Amino acid sequence: MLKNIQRPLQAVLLKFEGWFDRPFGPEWNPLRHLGALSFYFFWIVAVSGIYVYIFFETSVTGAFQSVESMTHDQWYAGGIMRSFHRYASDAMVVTTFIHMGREFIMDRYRGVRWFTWVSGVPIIWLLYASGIGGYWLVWDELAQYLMIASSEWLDWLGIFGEPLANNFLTPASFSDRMFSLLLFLHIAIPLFLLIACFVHVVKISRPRINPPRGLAIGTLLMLLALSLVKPAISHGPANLDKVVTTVDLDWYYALAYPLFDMWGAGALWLIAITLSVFVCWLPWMPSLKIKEAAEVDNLNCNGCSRCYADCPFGAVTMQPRTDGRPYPSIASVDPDICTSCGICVGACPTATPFRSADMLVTGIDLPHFRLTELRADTDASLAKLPKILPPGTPRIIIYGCDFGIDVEQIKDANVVVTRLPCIGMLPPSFIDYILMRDKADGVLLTGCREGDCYHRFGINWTEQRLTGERDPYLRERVPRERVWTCWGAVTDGAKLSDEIAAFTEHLRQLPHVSGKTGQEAAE
Amino acid sequence: MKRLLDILGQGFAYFLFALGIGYFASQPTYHPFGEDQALVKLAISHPGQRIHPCTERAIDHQRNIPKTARKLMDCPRERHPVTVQLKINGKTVFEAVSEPSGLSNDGRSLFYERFPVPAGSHEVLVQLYEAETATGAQYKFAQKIELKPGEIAVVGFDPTTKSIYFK
Repeated sequence: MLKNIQRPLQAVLLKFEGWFDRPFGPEWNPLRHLGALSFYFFWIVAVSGIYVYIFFETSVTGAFQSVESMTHDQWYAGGIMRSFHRYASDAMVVTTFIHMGREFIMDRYRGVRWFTWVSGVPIIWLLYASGIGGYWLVWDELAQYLMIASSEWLDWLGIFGEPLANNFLTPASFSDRMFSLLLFLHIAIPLFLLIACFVHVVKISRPRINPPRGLAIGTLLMLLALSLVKPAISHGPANLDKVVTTVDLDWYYALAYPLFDMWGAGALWLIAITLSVFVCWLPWMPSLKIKEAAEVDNLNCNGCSRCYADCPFGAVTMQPRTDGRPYPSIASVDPDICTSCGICVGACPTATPFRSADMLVTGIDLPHFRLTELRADTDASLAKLPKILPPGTPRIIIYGCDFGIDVEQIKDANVVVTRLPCIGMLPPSFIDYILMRDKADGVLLTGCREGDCYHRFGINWTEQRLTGERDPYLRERVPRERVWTCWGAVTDGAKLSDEIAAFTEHLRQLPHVSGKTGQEAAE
Repeated sequence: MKRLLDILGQGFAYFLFALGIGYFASQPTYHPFGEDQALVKLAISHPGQRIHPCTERAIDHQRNIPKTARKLMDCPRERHPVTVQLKINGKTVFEAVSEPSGLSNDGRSLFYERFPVPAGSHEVLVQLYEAETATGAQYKFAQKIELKPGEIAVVGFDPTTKSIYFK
């Protein structure tokens, strides 16, 4: 049922992301940095808010005039900062909701990710409370409309000694003291929002909270252009003797207000709370079936901490050693937050297929798919390669993951495939094993799209291992020209087919062990 | 050439994002209230009568209490709910009973409602009952009012003059 909802949405989203990949490239694609962009917008709002606050007068009679003066007399600085403050807040709503939708569509909210997902719900409440609170402070007609409607909405709860709305009955009933309280709320709530944002990412290893520099600069320039072309302006001054008949609503924040006018406070509370509970409940509807967590083998773990460094969810920690072996620490896996991706296995220096033992035992391994099974699968796949191929046709093995391009669809005669939970599980020594023992002529690694690994760092770590930037390295003796990568989503089957054709042709031109190219040998 | 196309593509994507942000930040315009309408706000905050009247404490009883805590009168805190009725042009537009606020049911009964009305002349009658057992309204206010388009009129209760006001 859930897959039936997610799959068509995934197809649309991936298509859309593919369009963004062309001009931005995988590294700058904004759809892969939605959380980081939301953080970035928060900081823009914070900095511009501090500037605006310097010129803001905290009083019922002075607030509107101070904002007007800032907007018009100081348009080149205060006006732009005010526009930054507004538009970055709006952009934060947009990126936050797309971020949330994307995580749902890509099924990255269940299992160990439940905490991050659920902790996002208070962020949305705080985001709205922060944004709407900002509109009150301008004390124009829009502020009057939002303030009265907000207080009536809160009054429905019946938790206040006197209705909040009584503060806005007449001009005389709205005091500077109340206005100071509103300003205090507009500073305090965003601080809570910031804390909530940090709680949101606290369980994530190496969270991306800053967008790439190019994307950050582009976004800032976009906000600047928007602020110059369409500066944020106020409505007429608030007048509590008159009802507000027309408002240019900020629909990103005030979408609920027309619903409030139509359906009333009770219905809106019901919708807001039901939606919040529903979203919090989603990770268990149904819950993700995670295979058994990675296991540490005490005898084979030398406490090198590579698995600890590579685990994308912080499930591996290093503990003091108590078994008397001559290493200071030993890896320990928290099964509650292990996604069973196998990246730790790929990082383990003991994970090598060169061992002669029938049963490979590594320092850390997946109980449901041990390294020895990976070697057996690899050997079984290689055994499927035809003994006789057309002259010059190279033999290729593809390693694919469970979440990227579907490698099972590959039907080329000279190509065999092996699947892993994540490409990051593949120790580089397997490539060495295949090429140096002449089991195949080329190795092609595939996974999710670049920058979008389902297990977060499978692609990054693999590439860094291949280029020798990260332990365990691919040994120097391995011919790099025989190792290709092709990163793509489940919908990028055609891309992989093209890549296989290109790789085949590329390998055909390379000299074989005999010193002749495949083509020459064929001739 | 590819770099130029990439920059143009990025620019177009930023343009679309800015367009979406800029437009929905203030458009389309919303009309929460009709141009030819006025608003009557009923905002009354008033304590009901005590359920049990105050009684004088017996002198013997007072002797058992420290001097600093002695009170001459014993006043149970609970209050009656308050009922408010609002009629506009002879038609009852609001009639509600509000329980006293507070954990001990000793606070004020609160009323807050909005009534959009066409601008123009209206007969307004407000009646407030301090106890559901009362036979008639303790406070009554009747007035013919003239409301301009967009004007807000507030019906409230002034505790100093102990009367319903309209402004």
